[in-house]
Amino acid sequence: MQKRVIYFDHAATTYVKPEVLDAMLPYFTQEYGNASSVYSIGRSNRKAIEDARETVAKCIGAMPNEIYFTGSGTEADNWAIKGAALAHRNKGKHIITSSIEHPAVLAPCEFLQKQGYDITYIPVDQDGLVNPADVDKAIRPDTILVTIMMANNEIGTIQPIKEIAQVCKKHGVLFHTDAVQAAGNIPIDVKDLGVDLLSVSGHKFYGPKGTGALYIRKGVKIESLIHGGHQERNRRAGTENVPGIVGFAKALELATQNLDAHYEKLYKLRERALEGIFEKIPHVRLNGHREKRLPGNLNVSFSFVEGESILLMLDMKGIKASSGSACTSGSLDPSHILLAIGLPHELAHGSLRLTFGESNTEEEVDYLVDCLAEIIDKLRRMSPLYEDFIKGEC
Amino acid sequence: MIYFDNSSTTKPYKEVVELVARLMSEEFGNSSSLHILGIRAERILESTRKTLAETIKAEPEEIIFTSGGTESINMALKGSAAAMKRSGKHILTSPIEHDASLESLKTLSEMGFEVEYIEVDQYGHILLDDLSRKIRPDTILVNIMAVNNELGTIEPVEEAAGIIKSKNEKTVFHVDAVQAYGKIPVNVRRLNADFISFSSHKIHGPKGVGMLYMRKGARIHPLITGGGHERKLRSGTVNVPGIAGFGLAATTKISRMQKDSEICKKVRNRLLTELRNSLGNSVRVNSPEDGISNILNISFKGVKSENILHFLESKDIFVSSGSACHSRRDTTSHVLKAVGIPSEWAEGAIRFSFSGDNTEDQAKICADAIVNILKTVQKI
Repeated sequence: MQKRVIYFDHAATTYVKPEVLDAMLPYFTQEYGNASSVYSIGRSNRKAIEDARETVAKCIGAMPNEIYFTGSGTEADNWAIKGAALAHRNKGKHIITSSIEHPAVLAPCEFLQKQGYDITYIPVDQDGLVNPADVDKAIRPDTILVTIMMANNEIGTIQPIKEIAQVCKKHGVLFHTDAVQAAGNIPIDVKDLGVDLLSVSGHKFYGPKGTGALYIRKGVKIESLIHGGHQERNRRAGTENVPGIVGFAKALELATQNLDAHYEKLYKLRERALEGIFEKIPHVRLNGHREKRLPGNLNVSFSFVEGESILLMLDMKGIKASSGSACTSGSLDPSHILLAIGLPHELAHGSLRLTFGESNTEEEVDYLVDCLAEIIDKLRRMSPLYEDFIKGEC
Repeated sequence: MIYFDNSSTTKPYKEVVELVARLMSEEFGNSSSLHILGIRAERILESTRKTLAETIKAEPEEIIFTSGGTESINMALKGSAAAMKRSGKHILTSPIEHDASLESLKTLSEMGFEVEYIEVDQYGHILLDDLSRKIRPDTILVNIMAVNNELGTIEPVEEAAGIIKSKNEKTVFHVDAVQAYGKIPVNVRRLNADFISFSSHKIHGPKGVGMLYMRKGARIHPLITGGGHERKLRSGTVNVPGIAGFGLAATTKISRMQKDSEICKKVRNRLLTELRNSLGNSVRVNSPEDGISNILNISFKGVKSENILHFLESKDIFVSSGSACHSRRDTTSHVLKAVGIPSEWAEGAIRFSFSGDNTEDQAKICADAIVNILKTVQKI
């Protein structure tokens, strides 16, 4: 008998949808030319890329010539931050970010710090929100870039991007947002948001891995990260991954067309899980903002237990979840995000991230709640901390 | 259709496409996730790393996956220059490198590094004496491609490595093996380079995948950070389906290497013989006699390569006027210029690049078509 697999880790990655795969396949098997070649296979590849660019542009309210395809969301973040820093270094060397960014943003900032740039980390409140007024206060004459994520990968909190963008605009400072977790889950309109740079990743919205895109508002100067051939209008070299780009665009298009229904469905699943967990399990805390959060994100901390133990026991029951972001899963340190919202170490260690997706069902959520109640109870009964706590209560 | 442009890109093997498609929809886990889907993805990743390492006699931990050959080259050159900058600022390169190398080196020279060129002969072979002369105590990096993408010239990279290391042990040696891998043996134990760049789509694997060999103990600054994937050297969710496809393509291509090479040689010789017989002095062979069997670069007198290319396309024959990365520019190839091909010949240069799927009959059809267009043009 095949073991049941229930996947609640959609923020880590998603499967490629059949429609997306179907769109990609012709570019593997028939239209396999190099898009830079001048002849017809090359031209039809070029057209596929330009159509994809137009689709992506439409999905996020941009112009096609503002979309640049990359090899991943991480590359897009690296490019935006290092590229902007390098291009504007004569104006200044100060960069502002938040304390809860993804490593793809934090690592380039740390890199720049070593190169002599000055980085300010804006703190967040207990829900993980950045206050635009704090950004306003942090901006100096030598500030060249603000980078704050649209939605958090661990706690799902959605930032007031439009307000932050207005602050940046007032001061004439470039604003980048990492929209890797937001894309495909909530609407994105770059013109309405007023951002200058925005990163997205294909494999988070049922597209292929190894694909990403950077929106660069027309007129914004950034240096290239990868040099060589003349692809992507001289800004990102390397033979274009045509099937990947086609799949990326198709996935984003499907996600955008289906956004309302997707939101509704994930929101319902999330609320069902949240209510079930709070009803059946005592001493639990919701991490992240109650309303301003991604529809499919649920992050909870259980007192007196280790997140890793919960994960292992859930895995044995066929449930795939995460204790934080997949990118930091090898690390023993508690999540920097949970610490930034004020969780004590022991609670941060007992946290669980559940991220719902399109193929999940209410029945799966109910099974999850039952399993979790059983697992938490079991783990707590083995926990000396819990024993002390109960004794104290009596 | 006759596809003679396999150095631009190749048709992915059927089994490769099937594998990639299956993994994208079924084994989609994030290789960093701790649950079983993640662990399964990680197993596929690590077994592919081992497979690919074996193809070049490297250790698995010496392999870093990237988004392509261009990223690998950028990473190797910029990353090792940054890591070595305290030892000096002098960099040597051949002048006939791919743009991924030359443009990366251009950014380094803008940052204050001194980039100097190694002389080449009329076929693009680097002059080892010149290399030997130009290595200095402050030479931190030497960059030479294993096989030139336009001419098919096989560079003496093993001999170069010997010279470099005997002159200056600390000098880092990067080899761009994008056109060599799967066509001729690449063995890191014999080559003795510190970094070697590879691309998947040149050997019937998926686009958007590449790898960088990094000798154990070599130092590099990463190009893309955040997340700490690939031993902190190249961050970003790992494209496991693409990488697995690359692994299968590589083992398939290498198992056919000898056979493919013989097929390419026959196709190449047939094309050349037919053209020479019919056109005589109107043909100039730019590729060296001892070049790689799958590339043939020829110039035709009195006709622009663009015209030949478009005419052949109308006959459903696909060739290239140089490297695909150049083809949207009007300037003459820097490679042909560097090897001293007179401009009247360089203007009419065509690169034919073959695969094991090509046949001698296709060569004959292609030659006849070219003879046809040349005769028409000469009449006018």
